[in-house]
Amino acid sequence: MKIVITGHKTGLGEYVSDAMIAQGHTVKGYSRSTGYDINDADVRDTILLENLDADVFFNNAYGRMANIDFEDQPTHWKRGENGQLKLLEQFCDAWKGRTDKYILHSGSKIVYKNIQKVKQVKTYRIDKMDCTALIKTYTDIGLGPNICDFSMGMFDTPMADVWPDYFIRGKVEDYGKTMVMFINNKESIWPKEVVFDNPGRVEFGPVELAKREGWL
Amino acid sequence: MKILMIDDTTTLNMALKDAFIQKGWAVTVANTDLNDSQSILDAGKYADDVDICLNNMYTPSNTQEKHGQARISDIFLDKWDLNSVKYIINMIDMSALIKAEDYEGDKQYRLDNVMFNAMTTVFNARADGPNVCNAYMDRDNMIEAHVKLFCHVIENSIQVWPSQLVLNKPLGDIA
Repeated sequence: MKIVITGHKTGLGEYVSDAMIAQGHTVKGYSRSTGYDINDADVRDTILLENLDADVFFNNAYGRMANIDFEDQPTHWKRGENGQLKLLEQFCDAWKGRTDKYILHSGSKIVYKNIQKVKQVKTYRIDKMDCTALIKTYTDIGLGPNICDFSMGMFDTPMADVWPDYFIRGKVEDYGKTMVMFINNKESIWPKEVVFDNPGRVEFGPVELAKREGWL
Repeated sequence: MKILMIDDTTTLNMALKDAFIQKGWAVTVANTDLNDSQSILDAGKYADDVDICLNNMYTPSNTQEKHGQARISDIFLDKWDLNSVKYIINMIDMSALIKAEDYEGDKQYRLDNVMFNAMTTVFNARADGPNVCNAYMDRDNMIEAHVKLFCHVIENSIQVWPSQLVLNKPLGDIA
């Protein structure tokens, strides 16, 4: 199996990459640290064109943490200018009608939380919502590729370092194990939508979050 | 791991029971008659002794009351309220996610699943326990794959828990 992974040098991407290589699969990894920034249109084209023959695309890198301002919605932030979203769209288009192709998308549980009044995560949530909306459009058509919107809670990756401390972190391997299981069983079952989180966690609803942020 | 199964008579439920036992988990089967109020209430008696309730059986209601599977869910949500170390897996038919105009099967069946879906999704929007997983699936197909997946979910339940699983067959597989 050939699998393309963005953000393969850290966190979840690294876990899945290592697991797939250990199983003897071919992994093509693209990360900012190896010179591939998915916010660059040329880089995205390169990733796509080099991997049209892949079996699985793991759309893992978000690519916009640097643009997230936790104090306010930054003026340079533009909706839709999201490397992860654009790359997702490119692979969906390139693999349109291909039922033998699979896209595993790193989504966020934040999409399903009504926390719009908490400014710190607004831009991130909108980016992730746009990805989820795009996936729903493709999965509703149902022609292929097979897409899984794998929404997760927060876990201990370098990306999480910039988030406020009160967001509770799970472990990379806990989510990674399930992703690997999905990839390995893709020909018998393919969940088009999953929402995972850390069980039994103390989680904050919109009111509590707003209080912690000083809005209430 | 102690698991309560509401039913063990369908092909999938039998296979799940066998797999759970093979994993070494303690399985209790309630064998609930979902059209009998007392039998539904009796299932709640197991709440203190199990970690997971696999709400895996649907029977259409023969009264105007909510259907039995939804009532089982109500009972466990109530008994395990705010308990974050308890888990409920609701097997919901995929028809719950299909628009009425696109669904060609039994209308009542779809409506029951839509209602059950709405009820449990509302519960899931809050942060407190118990941990609820709504698994949307076709219970008559992909038996082996479903068994493997549910075993994986239960095995990892202390680390990660899916509040929602939409379990499709891969596209192009029309067998």
